[in-house]
Amino acid sequence: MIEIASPLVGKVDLAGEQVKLSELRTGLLHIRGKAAEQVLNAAAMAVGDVLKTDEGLLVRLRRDEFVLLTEEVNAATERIAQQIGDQHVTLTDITHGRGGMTLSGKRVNDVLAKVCALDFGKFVNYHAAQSSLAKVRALIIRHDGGDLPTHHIIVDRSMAAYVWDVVWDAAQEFAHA
Amino acid sequence: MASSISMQTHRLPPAPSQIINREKVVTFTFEGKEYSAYEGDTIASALAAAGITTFSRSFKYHRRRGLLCCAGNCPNCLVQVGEEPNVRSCVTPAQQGMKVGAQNVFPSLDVDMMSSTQLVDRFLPAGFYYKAFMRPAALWPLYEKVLRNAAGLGEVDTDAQPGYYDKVYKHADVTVVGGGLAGMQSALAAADADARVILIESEAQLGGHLRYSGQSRGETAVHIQATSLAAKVAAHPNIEVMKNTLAFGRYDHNWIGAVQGNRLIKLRTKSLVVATGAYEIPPVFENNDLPGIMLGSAVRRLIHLYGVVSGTTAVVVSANPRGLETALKLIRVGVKVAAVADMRAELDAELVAQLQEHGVIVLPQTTVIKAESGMTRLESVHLRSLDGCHQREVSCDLLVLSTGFMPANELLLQAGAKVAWDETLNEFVLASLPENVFAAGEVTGSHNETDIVREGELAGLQAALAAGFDGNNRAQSLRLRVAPLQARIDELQTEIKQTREQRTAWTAAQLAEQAGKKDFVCFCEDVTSKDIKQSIDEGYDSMELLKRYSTVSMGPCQGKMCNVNALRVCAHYNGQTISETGTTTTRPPVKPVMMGALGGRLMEPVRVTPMHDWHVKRGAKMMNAGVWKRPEHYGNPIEEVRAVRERVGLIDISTLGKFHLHGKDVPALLERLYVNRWRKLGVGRVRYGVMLNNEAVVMDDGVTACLRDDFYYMTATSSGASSVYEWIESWLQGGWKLDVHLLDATELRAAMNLTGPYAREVLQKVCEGIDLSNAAFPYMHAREGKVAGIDALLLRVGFTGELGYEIHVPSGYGLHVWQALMSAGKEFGILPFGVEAQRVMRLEKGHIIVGQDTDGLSNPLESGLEGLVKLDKEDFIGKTSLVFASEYGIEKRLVGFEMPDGTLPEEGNQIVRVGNGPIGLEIIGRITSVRRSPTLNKVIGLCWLPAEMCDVGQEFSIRVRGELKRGRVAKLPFYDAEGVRLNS
Ligand code: FES
Ligand code: FES
Repeated sequence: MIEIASPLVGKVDLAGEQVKLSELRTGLLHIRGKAAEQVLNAAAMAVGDVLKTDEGLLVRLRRDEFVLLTEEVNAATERIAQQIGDQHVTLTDITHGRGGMTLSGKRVNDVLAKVCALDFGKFVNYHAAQSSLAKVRALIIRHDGGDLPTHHIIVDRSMAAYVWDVVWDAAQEFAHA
Repeated sequence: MASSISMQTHRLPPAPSQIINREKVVTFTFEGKEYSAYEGDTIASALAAAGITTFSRSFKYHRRRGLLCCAGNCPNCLVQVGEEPNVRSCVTPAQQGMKVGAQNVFPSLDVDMMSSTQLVDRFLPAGFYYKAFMRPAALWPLYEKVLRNAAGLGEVDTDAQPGYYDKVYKHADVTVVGGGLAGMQSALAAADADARVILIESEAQLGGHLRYSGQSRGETAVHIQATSLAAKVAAHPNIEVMKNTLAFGRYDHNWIGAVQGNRLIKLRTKSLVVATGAYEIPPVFENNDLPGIMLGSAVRRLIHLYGVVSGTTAVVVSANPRGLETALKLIRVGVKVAAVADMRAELDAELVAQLQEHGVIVLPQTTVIKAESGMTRLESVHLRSLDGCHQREVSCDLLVLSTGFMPANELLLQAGAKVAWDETLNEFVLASLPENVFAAGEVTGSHNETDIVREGELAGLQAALAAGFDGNNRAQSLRLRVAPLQARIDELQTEIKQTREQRTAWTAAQLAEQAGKKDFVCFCEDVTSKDIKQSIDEGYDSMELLKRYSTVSMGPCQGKMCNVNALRVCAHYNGQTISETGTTTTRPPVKPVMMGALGGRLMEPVRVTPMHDWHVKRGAKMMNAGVWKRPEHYGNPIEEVRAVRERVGLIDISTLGKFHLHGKDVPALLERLYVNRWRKLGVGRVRYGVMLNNEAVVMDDGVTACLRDDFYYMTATSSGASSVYEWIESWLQGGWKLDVHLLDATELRAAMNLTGPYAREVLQKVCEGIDLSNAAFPYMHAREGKVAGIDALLLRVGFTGELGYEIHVPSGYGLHVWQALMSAGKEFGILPFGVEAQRVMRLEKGHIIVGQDTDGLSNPLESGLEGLVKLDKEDFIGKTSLVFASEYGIEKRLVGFEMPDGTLPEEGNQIVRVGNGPIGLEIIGRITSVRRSPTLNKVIGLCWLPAEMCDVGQEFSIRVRGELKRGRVAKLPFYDAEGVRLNS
C-alpha cells in the first residue's frame, strides 16, 4: 500500500499554549445531487451545518452538495452508493485534491480574523463555511476538541503549503500570548 | 546622559494627569544633537521640554514653524524619522536611538536660505506655477527639475526594505469612533443593551479632552471622571477597546477602515457612532504662524500630559470658557499671563474674577491682529478691540489661541451626513445623518459636558437599537422589549433639543478682513488671505475651484486647520454667506496612512504541483504560470527538446484544468460548449475542442475523453481552468436544465506527459492492464489501468508532436508515479522537460496557445481553427456571432512564419508597412510566438497578418529592436506535417 503523500511535508506543527496548528489527515468524500439530502438522510441539516456521524463529520456545503470527512472513504462510498438507486447523485473521493490543517486553542478566533473576513465571534461549534482564507478558497469547519475552540481548514492541495505558512505566521503573535 | 537630562528646562513637576514615566529615560537625536525623553513622551514633547521652538520650515516660504496643535492635526511638527518622512512628532512616541531630522530645509533648520523667498513673495502669488513655468516650452526640462526639487516633503529611502504589515478583520454590532466623554458614554450605553461594541480611540488613552481640560470645577475631579469612565469601559465584557487606532475611512454598508500601527483593520459594523470631537482651529491675523503661537488645547496637552510648558510670558486670546481656563492653568504652573483678550462681550464672571485676582488684564471684545517675532520666535502681539477703537502691543513669548472649533466630522461626511453652517454658533452643525450612523459630542457642535454626556448615551442607545439590541429579556416580543429603550431615547431627545436651542457660540466670528501681511489661512501650503482674494479676482470663486487653484486645504492636514477660515475668507470676498459658499468633498483617509499598512500582510497565493519538490531538487528554474510554479527548464531547454524528439521526455502538466462531467446530458452540454461535434464520441475516445464566448472569441481549448456513457473527463488550459469551471457552471445553473454534475478535478489528479519515440517502451515497464500497442491504444484514445501500481487514466494525445501519453493519477501518488517513470526511462535516456521546451515543440507543430497567440478579439475562423468549426451544428455558444463574422469576411489571420535571415524577433514585435504612422510606418500585425527551432534549425513563429497577406511565401516587415527585418509566411505545421510520429 503506497501512502498518500502529504502536501505539508516538512511543515512543523505549532504547539503554542494559546494556539496549536497541526496537519489534518482525513479522507474526503464529495456528494453531489438534488437527491443527496434524501440519500444521506440529512433533510434536517441547513447549509453550513456539521453533523457527527458514525462515519465521520458530514458537512452540508449547499442545498445539493455535501462533504464527508471520514477515515474510510471507500466503505462510505459503498454504503452511500447502495442508497442512491437510479437517482443522479455523484460520489467523488476528493481526498487527493485537498490539504487540511487543524487550528485550536483559546486564541484561534484572533488568528482566523487575520486571514479570513468571516465573523468568527459567531462561528459556533458544528458550523462550517466556505470562504476566502488567505485569498484562497477554503472550507472551514468548527469542531471543538473538548473545551477548546477548534477549526479544521481544508484547502486545495496545491495551496495547502502556502496557506499553512500564512496561518502559521498569523498565529505567531498569539501562540504564547 | 546627565547633560541631556539637564536640558529639560521646560519640564514641570509631576502631576496625576501626566502620562510620562520619569523613571525611564530614552535618548534620541534631532538635527544631529542628542536629547532625552521620558517614557511616554512624544518626540515633540521631549523637544519642547528642552526649549526647542522651531520644528519645521513652511512649504513655500520656508518660514519657521513651531508646535501649533500638539494633536497630529497640523503640518507644523512634521519631521523625518530615520527612513520615514512626514512623521508627526507631536503624536509619535520618542524611542531610544531615533534619528530625527527636519524636512524641507536648506541647508539646516536654523539657517534656511530658502526663507528668503518671502522677500520676493509678490512674484510667487497663488497659482504662480501655472503661469510662470509655461513658456518657453524648451525650458520645461529645467523647470521640471526645479519643481521636482521643491515639491514634496521629506526624503524617501529608495533602499528601504519592505516592512512587515498585517491585516485583521473585525465585526461589531456597534462601533464607536472616539474614546472621549461622548464616545465612552455611547459605548457603555450600547454595551449595556447587549450589543457587541468596538470602541476605537486614536490616542493611547481613553478620555479625550477630559485628560487635559483643567476645567474650573477642579482638575482632579475631571481627571477622576476620565479615569473612572475609562476603567468602566475597559471592564465591560461587551466592549473591545482599540487604542492607538485611527479610523481613517467609512465606506459603504458601514465598512470601516482603520489602522493600528502597521496593522490594517477592516471592520464591518451594524451601527456606527462617530464621537470624534472637534479640531481647535487658529484665527487669521498677521504672522499667525510664528513659533510660540499655539492653540489652547495644545498648551493644555503639553502641560497636563507631559508636564511641559512652552513659554514664560503668555497672552491668551479666547472666544470660549476654555481660553480663560487655560489662562488660569498657565498661572498655576508659573507662567506670567500678560493679558487675556476675549472676543465675547459677556465673559464667564467667575473665571474672570479668578484671573483678575492674579492681576491679569482681561479685555472683552478684543482680538489679536498681529504678532511680531525676534530672531526665532514670538516677541509681542498687537491686540485690538473689535470696534477698532483701542489697540495695544503686549510683549510675550507665548500666544495661546482658543477661538474656535471645526467638527472632526470626516467619517460622517464620508457616510453621507449633511452639515449646515450655524450663524449663531459660527460652526458647522449636523443637518442630517444616514441610516445606522449616529453622532455625539463636540462633533455635533456641543461643547458643554452635560450635553456631551446626554448625546453620548442617546447615540449609544440608538445605535444598539438600530443593530437589533435592546438589553432586555430576549424572550419578550420585540415591541415590549423596545418600549423602555425607546422611552429613554425620547426623553434624551427632548432634553437635547432644548439644550441645543440654548447653545451659545464657542467659536468667534472672526474679523473678515485683516489686511495684514502674511496672515496665513492655510499653514500647510502657505496660502494667505491675500492669495485667496487674488484667486477669486482671477475667477476661481467657488470653493472647489479655489481649492485647486490656490491649493488651500490641499496640504498634509487636508484642511483641518484651514477649511473653515478659507470658507470665511472666500465667503467674505464673494459677498456671500458661508452657507451659500458651500464646502468641499471629504474623502478617506481622514489622516495620512502608510501605503504599506493599506497593503496589509503579504499574502500571495502560490500553487505547487505534487512533484514540485522534485523539480526544485533537480535544479529546475521555476517560473510563475499564473499562481502556479512550473519548471521553465532544468538547465538546458534545447537539450530537453532533443531528448523528446530523439528519445523520451517527461513533463509535469498537473496544472492543466481537469473536470469530471457526470450525467446523461454531458454530450448535449459538450455540443453547446464546443464548436465541433461531440454526440458520437464513443467510450474510450478523446477529442480536441475549442470553446468560444458569446462574442465568438476563443476562450479556451483542451481535450475531453469519454470514459463511460455518463462520465467524461475534460481538460482545459492551466490559465483558463477556473474561468472554464465558472463558465460551465454558470450555464448549467442558468436555465439549460441539463442533468450534468460538474466537478473541478484539477486538484484531484497529478498529470504528466510522457512523450518521445520511446514513450511506449518506458510506459510498458510500469503499466499494467492496458495494451499499449498502436492498434489497441491509438492516438486520441483514453484507457484506464495501473501505472507503478496506481490507478491511472491515460490519454494518448500530444502537444509536442511525438508519440505521447498523458498520465493522470491521484495527486497524492503523483510523485511516486513520476519517479517510477523517470527510473523506467533511465535506460532510454529520459529527461524531464519544462515549459520552454514544450513551447518550442508545440510551435514546431504549429499548435496555438489560447491567450498568447489569440487575444480578446480572436475568433476561431481567423485563428487557424476553421477546420474544427461546424457552423451547420444546431447551436453552440458563440455561433450567432461567428456566423456574422464569417459573412462579414475575415480581415486578419494567425499564420506561421519564418525568418529567412535568421533574426530572432521578440514576441510582441510589430509587423509594419510604409504608411501614416508616427515614423512613417503603419502597424498591420504582430508576432505572438517565436523561437529558434533546434529541430529545424531556423527561426519560426506565429503572427497576425492582414488576410490578403497570408499566402505562403509572402514577405513582410517586422520592426525588431528599431530595425526592419523580413519575415516570410510559412505553411503549418513546421514539423511532421503528416503526423506520422504522433500516430506511430
Ligand atoms: S503640532 Fe504636531 S501636528 Fe500639529
Ligand atoms: S492648513 Fe493644512 S491644508 Fe491648509
